[in-house]
Amino acid sequence: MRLKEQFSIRNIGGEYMMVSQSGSGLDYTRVVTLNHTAAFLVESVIQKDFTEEDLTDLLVEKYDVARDVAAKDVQALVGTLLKEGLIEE
Amino acid sequence: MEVRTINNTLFFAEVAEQLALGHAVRMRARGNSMLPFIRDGRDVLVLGKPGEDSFRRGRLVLARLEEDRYVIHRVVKVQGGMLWLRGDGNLKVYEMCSRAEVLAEITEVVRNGRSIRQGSWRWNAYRFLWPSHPFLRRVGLALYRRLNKK
Repeated sequence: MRLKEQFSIRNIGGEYMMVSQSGSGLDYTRVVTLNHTAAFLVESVIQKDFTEEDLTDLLVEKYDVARDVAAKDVQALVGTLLKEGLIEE
Repeated sequence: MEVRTINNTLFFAEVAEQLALGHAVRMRARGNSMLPFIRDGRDVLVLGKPGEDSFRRGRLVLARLEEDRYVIHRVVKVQGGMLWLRGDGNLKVYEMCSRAEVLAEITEVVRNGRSIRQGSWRWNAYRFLWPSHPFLRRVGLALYRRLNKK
């Protein structure tokens, strides 16, 4: 899967936000707030093809968590992004 | 989808940062002080970095006033280094600011997916056909509200 648009991850007042970027502009009319972990994952796969496996690997590597826990988190994140139409299979 | 509001100061600091990097910024319009041109919560504004041309009568600018108050209003007078601003929907309220306090110029208003670009005939219609006189404005706004009542 892949992010549908080009996004920029911005930290505004301590909160991570996913802002869509089109051409030479940033669109703040629709932003998605992310927690620290989600921001890390999304930022890692900007403009790349990825699978849930890839994201799980990234999480395990970075945060030293059990694989099944990481996989669950990734599933939840991917579910949300799919539901919001931000990634495509 | 959840709608959240970000603190103005933080949001506009972010906007200023992006503009300085040369990015355009799209944001949703808030407030009624630019009626009938700009409609609260519905219209999307495209902001660009201000240039020398932004400090001219008739231009729409985003300015930071005292106490972190931000307005998007029209330049109605340029006097020395100072700009006088007034919202199209305001009768007698003016704001005064310096050029340095202008963060952005509005270059486009997007309504229902249709873009009204600065300088286009629709843009100019809102600029030139909308009266400046407070009494005529009051009448115009009353008519606007009556026509748009649901």
